[in-house]
Amino acid sequence: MKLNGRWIWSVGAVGLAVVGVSLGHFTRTSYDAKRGFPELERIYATNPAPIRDDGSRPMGGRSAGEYFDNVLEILKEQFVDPIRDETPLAHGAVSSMLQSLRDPGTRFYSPVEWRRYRDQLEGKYEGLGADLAIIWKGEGSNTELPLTVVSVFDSGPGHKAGLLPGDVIEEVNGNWVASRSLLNDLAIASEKRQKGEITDEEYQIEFERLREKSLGAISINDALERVQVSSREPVNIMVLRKGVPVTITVTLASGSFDLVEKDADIIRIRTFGRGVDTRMSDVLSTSGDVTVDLRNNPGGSFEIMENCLAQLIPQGEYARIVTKRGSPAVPLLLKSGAKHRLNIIVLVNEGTAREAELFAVALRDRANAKLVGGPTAQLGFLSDHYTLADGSGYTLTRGHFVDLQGTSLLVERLVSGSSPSNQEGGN
Amino acid sequence: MHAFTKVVVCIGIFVVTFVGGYALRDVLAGDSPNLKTIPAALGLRSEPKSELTATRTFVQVLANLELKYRGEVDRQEVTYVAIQGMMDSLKDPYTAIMPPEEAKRFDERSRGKFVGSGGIGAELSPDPMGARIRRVFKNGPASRSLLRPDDIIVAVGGKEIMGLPIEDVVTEIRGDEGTSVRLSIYRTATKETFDKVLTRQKVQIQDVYGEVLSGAYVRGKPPIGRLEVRSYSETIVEQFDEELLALEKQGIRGLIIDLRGNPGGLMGAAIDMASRFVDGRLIVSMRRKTGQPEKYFARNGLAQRKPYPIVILVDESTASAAEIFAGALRDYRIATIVGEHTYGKAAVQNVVALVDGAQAKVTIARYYLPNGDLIQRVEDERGEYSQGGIKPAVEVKLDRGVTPGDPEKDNQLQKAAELIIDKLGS
Repeated sequence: MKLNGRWIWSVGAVGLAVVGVSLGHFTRTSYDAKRGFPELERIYATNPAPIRDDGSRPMGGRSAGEYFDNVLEILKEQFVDPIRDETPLAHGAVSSMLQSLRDPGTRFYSPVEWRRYRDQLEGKYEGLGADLAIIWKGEGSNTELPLTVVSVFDSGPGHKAGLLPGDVIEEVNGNWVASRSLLNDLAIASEKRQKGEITDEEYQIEFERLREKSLGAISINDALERVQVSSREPVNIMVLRKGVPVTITVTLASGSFDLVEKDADIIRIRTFGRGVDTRMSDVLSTSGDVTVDLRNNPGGSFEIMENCLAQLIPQGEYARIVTKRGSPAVPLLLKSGAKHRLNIIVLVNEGTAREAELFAVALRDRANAKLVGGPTAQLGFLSDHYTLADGSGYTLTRGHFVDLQGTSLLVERLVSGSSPSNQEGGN
Repeated sequence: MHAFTKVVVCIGIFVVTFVGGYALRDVLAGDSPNLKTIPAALGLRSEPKSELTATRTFVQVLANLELKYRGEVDRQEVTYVAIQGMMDSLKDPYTAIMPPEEAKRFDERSRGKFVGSGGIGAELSPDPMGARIRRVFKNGPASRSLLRPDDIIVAVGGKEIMGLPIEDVVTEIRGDEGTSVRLSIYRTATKETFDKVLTRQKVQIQDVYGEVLSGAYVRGKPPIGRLEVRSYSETIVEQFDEELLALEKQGIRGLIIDLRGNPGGLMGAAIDMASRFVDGRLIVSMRRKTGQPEKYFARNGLAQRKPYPIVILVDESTASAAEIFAGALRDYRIATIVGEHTYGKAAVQNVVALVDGAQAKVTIARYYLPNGDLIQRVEDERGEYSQGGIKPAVEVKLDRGVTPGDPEKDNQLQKAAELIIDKLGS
C-alpha cells in the first residue's frame, strides 16, 4: 500500500512536471506570437544574410538583427547622453530604411501622422485638406523628392484656396522645402558662367540666392508637419504648378467630409474608407444609369474598394497586380459579383489615385463603363499598412496594378526621362 | 506526509517546471532566459504600449520588407541605412556608421598616407565643375607637372567628372604606382584649359607647411614664420617639428601657427603638439556619460619656452583637435588667438570596428579646455552659428574674395604679423 502510494506520487510528480514544462513553453510561444515575433522574423534576427556571388559574407556573417543590435548596444553603453527610451531610435531606423527605397507608397509615420493618416480613411483631415505624397524622381545627385498634392478634398482649406492635384509644394511661409540638392542648380549656374552666359557678378548673386535658400530650408517631413496642422494665421504656400510658381494663402484648419454622397444618379466616392461599401449598397439602384464620381479620390482601403466593386461588376478577374519586380502579374479576382447590369459613367481627374484608379479601370474593363476626365494620378499601387506598438506606423508598397490589357497603372518616375504619355493610366 | 506539504511540493514542482518550460526556447536558442516577461505573458501586467524596442522593430520591418515589399531589398545596405537612421535620432552630427569601403578610406586619411597604390600628390575639394585642387604636395607628381591650387580637374582620362562625388573622383585618379593618368585641367587664374599626363606615385600627405612671411607688410621687419597646420593626423607632430626647426634655423622672431580650415583629427596629436609648448599640464578633460572626468596632460620634457611671440590664427572651420591645441596655448598664455570664432566641436568620438570592417563612430564624451570652458557649438534654427567655439582675443574677419595664405591680401595674416611686430617693439 505504501509502495503503491509512492509510485502514484512519483508518477504524479513527473506528470505534473511534464504539464508544467509544456504549459510554460506554450505560454511563452503564444506570448511571442501575440507580440508579433513569429518564427519568420527570427530568421532575420538570427540567420546570417545570404553569401554574395563573390563569396563575401555581408555583415561579417552576422544576422541583420544581431548586427543592428550590436550597434545599439554600443550606443547605449558609450553614447555621451543616456539613452532611456529606444522609441526614437526605432523611429529613426525605420524611417531611414523605408525612405532609402525611394518608393512613393513606402513610408514611416510618427504616431501623430499615423493617426492623421487613418483619420483620412474616415473622412477627417487637418491642415490643407489634401492627400500628399512624396513622389521620387530622377537618380543619383539628380534625385528629387517633390512633395506632391495627390488629391484635394472638396471645400477644405486647400480646395478653397485653389490648390490643385499635381501641385508640388515648394515653399511654406518662405521656407524652401528641401526636395532636391541645390548643388545641381549651382552647377548649372557655374556652367553658364563658364560659357559666358552670365557674368561673374550674376553668378555671385545666384550663389548667394542659393545659399539663402538652403539656409532657410526645411525638411520634407517638417513641411508635411507644417501643412497638416491647424493654423491661426494664414500660411503662404508656394507651389509649382506644371513648373510655374503659384502662391496660395490659406488658413489651415481641421474638417471632415462624407466618404460617399449620392445626388440623383451620381454616387460620389471620396475615399474608400470605413463603411463606404455598405453605404454604397444602400444607395445603389438595381437598374438604369449611374455616374460614379472618383475625382480627387486618393484611394483608401483595398478591401473596401473590392467590396464596392463587387456591387458593380461581375465576378472573376478584373485586373492584375505585379508584386515582386520582374515576377508575373497575379490576377485580382472577385469571388462574387453584381447581379444587375448598370450603365456606368466614371468621372476621374488627376486627383484620382491608387485604389480609385484601379476601381475606375476595373469598371471600364468589366462593366463597359465610360471614363470621363483624366488623366489620373498614375499612382496605381497597393500599400500594406502596419501599426507599431507605440501608435506609429508604416506603409509598404506590395505591388502595382495592371489592367486587363496589361497597362500599368503606376508610372515609375524613378528613372528620369520615362514619359508618362506612353503609359496611360486609367483613361 | 501531510496533505499541506504535499500541496506545497506539487505547487513547487509545477512552478519550477513551468518556469523551465517558459525559458526552454531561450535555452535552446542559446540565449540567456528572459523570465521578466512571465507576468506580462500571464496577463498579470499589461505590456508597456508606448515604447518600442529598436532591434525588434527593425527586424519586423526588415522581414516585411523582404517578404512583402514589391522591390528587391539589399539586406546589408538596408541595415546600414537603418543604423544610420537610428544614430540620426540622437541628434548628434558626429555619431555615424561608415560602411567598410568608406571606413577604409577614412583610416587611410587619418593615418596620413595612402596605402598601396599611387596618387598625384594633391588635395582636392568638391567643385561644381569637377574637383578643385586645394593643395599641391611638395615633390609629388602634381607639383612636378606645375599644377597649382585652384586649378580645377574637369576630366580624368578623358572622362568628365562633373557631378561626381569627390570620393569617386579620387578613386578615378588613383591607381597603381608608376601608371599614368591624363587630367584635363581648367586653370581658373588664366581661364585656360589643358591636359597633363601624370605618373602616379606613392604619396605622403603633407599637412604642415612652413614659410617665412614675405609680403609687403613685413618688409624691413624681423622675420616672422608661418606654420600652416592642415589637420591633426598621426604623422603631424614629426612634420610640425621638422618645419618649425627649419623656420627657427632661418632666425624667425615670431611665429604664426595657422589653424584656419583645420578640421582637427586625432586628439592625441593635438596633445603631443601642445607638449612642445606646455610641460606636463592639463590640456583637456573629457566627461563621459558616467564617472569622473578623464584628464589628459601634456607630456613631460618636450616643451621649450620659445623666445619669440606666438599667434594662433583660427576661423570658423577650425575644429576639434585644433581647438584643443589653440585652447591650451591660449589658457597657458603662450599664444594670442587671432581671427574668427572657431567651429565649436567639443564632442569626442570613439571609433568602434564592427565585424565586417565597417566602423561605428560614436560621440562618447565632451571635452573641456584647461580653464573649464565647454566650447560646444550652438546653432540657431537656420543652422547658423549662434555661440560656442573659441573667441579670438583679436577678432578679424577675412576680407571677401581673399584666399587664406595669400601673401599680399590675407588681412588676417597681416593682423597676426602686426601683433607680433608690436610685441617685438615693446
